[in-house]
Amino acid sequence: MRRTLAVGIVLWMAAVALKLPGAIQTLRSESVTALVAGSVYAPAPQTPPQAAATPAAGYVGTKVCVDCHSTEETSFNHSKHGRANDPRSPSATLGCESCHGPGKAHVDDEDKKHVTNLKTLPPGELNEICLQCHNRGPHAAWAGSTHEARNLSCTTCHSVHSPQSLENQLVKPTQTEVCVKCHRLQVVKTERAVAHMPVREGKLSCSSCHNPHGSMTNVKNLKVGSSVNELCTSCHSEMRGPMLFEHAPVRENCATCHDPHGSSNDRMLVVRLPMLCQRCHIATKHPSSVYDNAAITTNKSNRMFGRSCVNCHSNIHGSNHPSGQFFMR
Amino acid sequence: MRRALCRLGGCLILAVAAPAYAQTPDTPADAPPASQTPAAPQTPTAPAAQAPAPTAPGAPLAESDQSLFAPAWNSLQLSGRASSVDGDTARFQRYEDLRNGLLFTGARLKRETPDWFLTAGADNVGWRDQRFGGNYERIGHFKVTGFWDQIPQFYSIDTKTAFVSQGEGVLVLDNAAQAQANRNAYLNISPQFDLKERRDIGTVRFAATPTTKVDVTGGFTSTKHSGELPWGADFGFSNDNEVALPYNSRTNDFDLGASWTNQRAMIRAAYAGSWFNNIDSTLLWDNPLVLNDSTSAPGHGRTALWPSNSLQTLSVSGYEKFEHKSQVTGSLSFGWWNNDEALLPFTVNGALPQILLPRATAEAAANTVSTNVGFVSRPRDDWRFSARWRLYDYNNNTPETSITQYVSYDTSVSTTPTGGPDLFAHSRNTVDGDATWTGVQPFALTFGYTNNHTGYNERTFESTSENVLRLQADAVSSAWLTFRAHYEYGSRGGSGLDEASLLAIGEYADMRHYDLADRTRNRFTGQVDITPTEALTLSASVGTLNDKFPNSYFGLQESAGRTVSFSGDYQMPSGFVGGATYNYERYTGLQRSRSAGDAVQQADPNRDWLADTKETVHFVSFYVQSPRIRENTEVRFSYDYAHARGNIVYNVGSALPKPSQLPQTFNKLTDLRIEARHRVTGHLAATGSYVYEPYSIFDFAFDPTVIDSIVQPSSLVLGYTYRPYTAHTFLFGVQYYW
Repeated sequence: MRRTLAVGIVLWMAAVALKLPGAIQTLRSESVTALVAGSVYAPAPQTPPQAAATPAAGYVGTKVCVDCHSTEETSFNHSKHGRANDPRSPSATLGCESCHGPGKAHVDDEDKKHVTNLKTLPPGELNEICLQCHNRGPHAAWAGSTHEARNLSCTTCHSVHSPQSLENQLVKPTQTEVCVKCHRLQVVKTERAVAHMPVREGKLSCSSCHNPHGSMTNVKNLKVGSSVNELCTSCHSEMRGPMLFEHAPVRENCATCHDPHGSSNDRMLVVRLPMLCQRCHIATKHPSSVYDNAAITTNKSNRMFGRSCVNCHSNIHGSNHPSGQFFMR
Repeated sequence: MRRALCRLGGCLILAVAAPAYAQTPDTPADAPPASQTPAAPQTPTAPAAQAPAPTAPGAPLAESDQSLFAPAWNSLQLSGRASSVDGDTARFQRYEDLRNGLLFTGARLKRETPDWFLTAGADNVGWRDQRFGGNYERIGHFKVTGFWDQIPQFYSIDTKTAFVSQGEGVLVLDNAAQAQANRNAYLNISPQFDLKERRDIGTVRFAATPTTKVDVTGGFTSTKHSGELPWGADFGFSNDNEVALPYNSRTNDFDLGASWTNQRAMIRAAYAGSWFNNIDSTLLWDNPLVLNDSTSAPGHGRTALWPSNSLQTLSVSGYEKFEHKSQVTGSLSFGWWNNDEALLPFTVNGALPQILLPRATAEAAANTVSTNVGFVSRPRDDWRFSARWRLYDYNNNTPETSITQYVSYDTSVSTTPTGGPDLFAHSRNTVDGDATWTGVQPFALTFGYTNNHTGYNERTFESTSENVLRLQADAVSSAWLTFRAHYEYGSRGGSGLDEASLLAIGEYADMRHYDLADRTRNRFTGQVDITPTEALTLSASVGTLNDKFPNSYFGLQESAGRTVSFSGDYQMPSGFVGGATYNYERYTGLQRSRSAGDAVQQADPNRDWLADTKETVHFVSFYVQSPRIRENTEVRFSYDYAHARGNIVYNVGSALPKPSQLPQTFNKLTDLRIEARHRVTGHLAATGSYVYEPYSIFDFAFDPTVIDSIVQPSSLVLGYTYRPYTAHTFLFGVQYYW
């Protein structure tokens, strides 16, 4: 059944690729007005109109806009949106009016209304404006993503005219400062003194693992692979295996034992050893027990100090050794 | 059927472009642009001032509102760094190279014309944590990005070892010392060494846009991972050794993909390959207490390390938009995993009889099929619906392997309890749907349901099924109030319990593995942000998580967490910026075990014991940035303090003697920074900073009072411990803008 469905999905995708010219014909028959109202589901020209010397009816052209909005012009021109030689950019098409809608009514209005003010739009409508162009690559999975479902708008994290970061038009100077607004717990965990990913050292950031715009293939907005393990082993590829003797929780999910953001335990474990192992193992042969700790400074049981169980079971992620049943070889 | 799918998938693959398989490290241009040494204030609650937009490329630093702390293109920093560190200098550096010297860092270059665009960056040039990056874009045509990053990891300066590396994973001891069969013989022949490792990552990526609808992307990343790690190399309970494992590997990742997009739909096909090559794939080490092999003890041990492996992935994904603001998104991925390393003999001990290998190589293989299909629709302005189906199928294709005997610790032949490796596999099926109503602005109310069904091979349950209900309330459209709340209730149950598999490996039949066990989960998170004025933002959040495992007699019984945070940020028109944050976390866990020897004891519940683990973490952060002082000087101050405490309490049954309780553990890290910038000219600013960083820690497992010598009662160790440090770091230099 699953395979049949998978075949169906592939066939559907092929059908999309084949039938699209027909779909576009249907789109062209609808009015342009629906587009400038902010709906991406309304028609858009297959080839965006080039920035014309004479603006279309209802439009005034960027030069008129910047007569009053010179500050926005500066920031716009210094961003990717201002690259006129990129046919996909607003600068190559309708300029300011690509996002803010036709400006003639706004220019003619004494009260200066009748223009799309993104600050006042509900998130869904605002996002549709951005998604007219940002509809591929890392943004392709936005619809239905976690942040979209929680009613975030693009301007929650990004600013076209007042970015604080050098790249990616973020509202804060760094990614971490953007993410911490809602994900404080995860960011604080990266500050753990004992064990943490090198985020505060600047070697990794939230987007090293996550795509905040959504993931086509993975859970938790993880940007590569199709599972948590595939993401983790994209860097920690030595753990990937498969191996001759495998450790079941390792094969299932790295996050069963490790906290990926940071921990007060060695190796970013969710709980220290030997307690972590004791949550699944109480074999009667030689379990580390309540008595291994007796006066730990004098009774120095190797089942308690250092890496505890892993002092012996060092191949804990799996073994390729024929005598590796218990991960000691 | 699968072959047919592969053929069909192959037909869909165009010229390629795909997201990089390896994580994409930040380019220097993406990374925090301020000085990295000491690390720029990256604390979560000490954001930089709300400065005006970054300096335009090509413009010198005019006497304007531009803050000297704001990130800027076309600038670099040249500083002298001097640190005084009392204590564990390895822990102080950890993932950085913070030695004294001249620092060339924060270099950012940007050049732009209407036709092309170039950025480049460099940090910590010449140091172990240096990195470089560059990006060239032919606007509207293609982009090439290159990146080189070195990530050190400095474990310890306290480590000593008598083992000498002969290369290729061979560690030897002095024969005369071995012959003494006494660990004390190594005390005076174990020189100090720095235990460290490093990753060197080189990446090249390209993206081309041959038409406005077509994107082609690809990349290659090569990671060299080398150094030494602490590693257990043992010969039994009373002869356990910690060695500096030589590590030398290289991973190469390659990806290629292409996509076609218009206003209505997108389709993408991609290939990604990853090859891990462990250059030193075995470890051979001498036995400190035995010189020559015998039938009672080996003269040396040998273990297999992580095997070289590969992963190939083909994927197809896309979406299509429909009427009523509806969209279907889907992806289909196939993965092939392989490890065919040669199998080592069962033992390196020549005095023992050799057991016949089941085959010459591992022939370990797996393949995955993963599908994600999502549907989202906004048929009315006040309603949103979504549904998702996800399948992840991990199939283990390693051949059944009969291994009835093995050699334990290279010492003696034992019987394998399971007759050979377990071929773990799983298939996860997730169905999810939710509905959101936004009829009362600014609120969005969501009700959702998820079912996770997972089938397993060789686990204690044949399958598990979890039902999750969730309620969400969000209010984000108001200018002065943002509110988010999420509540989730989940119930998981297993079926097809196989208690015999537990008994076969010497476990109790009542043990339940918490990643599968029946579980009820309650989780709540809530956050409120209030912005009464443009200058002031107040935020409060709370979170709780409670997992109960009602049918697990042994193992994890309950796990809970609680978090609370408060923060405030204030920015005055005069340029004064300040803020503070307090974050509190508390985690608990309760698990049950039994201390028993013979069969009678094993059946006695009065021999049960409980371990009650607790951890609390307090995090405080405070920052202030002054307004301009005499127009040319800016000063900022930040203070971060993190304090974590852990405690484990044992409660034992009536048949057990009372145990000694473990001492409480703690770690505290303070980071206090004072930074100043003074504009000297339109192109030059003087910089100065001072960082005070005291770190204290006590962890009985790594404390110098426990690991007080490399010779321990049952072990020869490296002496790797957790030690406190206090560091004072001064940086003085200039920032040049052009």
